[in-house]
Amino acid sequence: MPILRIDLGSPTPVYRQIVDSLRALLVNGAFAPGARLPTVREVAIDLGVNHNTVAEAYRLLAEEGWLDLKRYHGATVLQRPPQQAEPARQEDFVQRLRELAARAIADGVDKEEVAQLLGALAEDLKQSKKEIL
Amino acid sequence: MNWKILQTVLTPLLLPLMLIIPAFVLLTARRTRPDIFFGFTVEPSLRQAAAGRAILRQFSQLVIVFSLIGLALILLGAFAGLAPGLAVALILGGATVGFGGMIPAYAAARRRVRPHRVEPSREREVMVRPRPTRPVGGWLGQSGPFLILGLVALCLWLRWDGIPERFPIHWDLQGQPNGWAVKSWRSVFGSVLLGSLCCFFFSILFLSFSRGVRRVHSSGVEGERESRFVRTMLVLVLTLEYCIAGMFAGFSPVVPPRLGGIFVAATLLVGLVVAVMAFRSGQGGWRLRGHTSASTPTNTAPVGDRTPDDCWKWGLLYFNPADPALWVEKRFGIGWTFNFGNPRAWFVLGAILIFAAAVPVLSILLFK
Repeated sequence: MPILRIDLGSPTPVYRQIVDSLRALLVNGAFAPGARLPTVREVAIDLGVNHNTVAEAYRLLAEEGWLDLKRYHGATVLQRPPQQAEPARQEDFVQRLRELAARAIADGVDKEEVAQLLGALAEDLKQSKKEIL
Repeated sequence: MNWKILQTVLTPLLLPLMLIIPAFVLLTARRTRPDIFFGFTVEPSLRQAAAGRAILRQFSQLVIVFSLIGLALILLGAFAGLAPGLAVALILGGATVGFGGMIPAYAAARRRVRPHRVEPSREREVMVRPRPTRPVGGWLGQSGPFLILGLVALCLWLRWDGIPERFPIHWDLQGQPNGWAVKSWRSVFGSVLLGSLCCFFFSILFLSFSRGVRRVHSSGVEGERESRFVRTMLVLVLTLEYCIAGMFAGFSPVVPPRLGGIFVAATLLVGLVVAVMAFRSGQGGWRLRGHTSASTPTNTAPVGDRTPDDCWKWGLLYFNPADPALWVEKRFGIGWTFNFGNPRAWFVLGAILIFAAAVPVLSILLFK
């Protein structure tokens, strides 16, 4: 079962953590198109955060085309049309990945280990059951 | 004031309570989540450590001592042949010492646990799956108690002419009727109406629990245990609802009184089973066996019950306006309690109090 985890002690805003965590699940094909997600109220109660925080996260994912939000019917996962990333977007991704790796190395993670982790991530993405959209 | 009557009423009421409540309190202290101890979040190992055992031992000793003093005073007041006024004073004094003594015992235990409190994990998890809309037992199972009462109401209506002008509505312990009502629409359908009211109240509580309680663990063996705990509690509440429906149906003049007695006994038995199973499971089901081998310890800090310590008053009352939950796990007890910081909690509490007052008032109005 897909689990959404957040850390209330993290400097990253809670709504952003929810968006990132849910997006990761959606990208990995954890939900079939048409699947229903728990309501804003259910997620807010279990996480112990304000309803508006969860509603904002759902709204952002709906804007990205992942979810269909209907009043009183919760959120439904959509079949997202293939996206064509602009070159600037890809450059931004590479830049952020480099920064993240540099940060990990600066924090003391071994270079080899970072390379292995990135390799494992690449394998995971390749073997993902669902096509990455 | 008739002291003799008061003495006769108080003795059988307080004597068993003086045995049951201390036992309940002693057991409760041992059945909270391993990382919650007297209302504080602590390391799970504390309970088994020398310091934890000493705290629990001192708490138990104090509760037992106060209860024994209370029990002795009640027995003295009840059976020593004293003047009725003095006897009642001793019985009430005994109850005050016995029940009131638990407060300093609890406060002393909390004082000793406070230095051991730790910051709970701030990680939260939720299973990304909608909660089932179908309640435990299904909608048919939920409507069963109302169907039973509806059937009885139909029988009453069809057999109206056969109902005697005066019929029993109360029986003593030997099963002999000792209260009677005169035939009227109110008295004949009164028990069905009261039964429906009680079942409606329990249904609301059932749905509120099944939809509104926070899941502390969603994954791993803890999540599995918690699911079983919640489900077991809900099944027992539903069973209790059936017994209550049967009990009120049994009070109606078309049902043999013996059947009503059986349902009264069944209701008491189910209540006892609920208590035994709840204590056996431990808070949140932590004492249950788990079948899932993989647990998901994502941090090293104790998880507790996913509520901040600072929002608890004496470890008993939870007040957190920032928390949207209506129900949260009790920190000293089994089951759930209100989040008094949620305005809806006050609304539900008001409804419970109105219900508690309405049942005896309606009984008087319907059967007078």
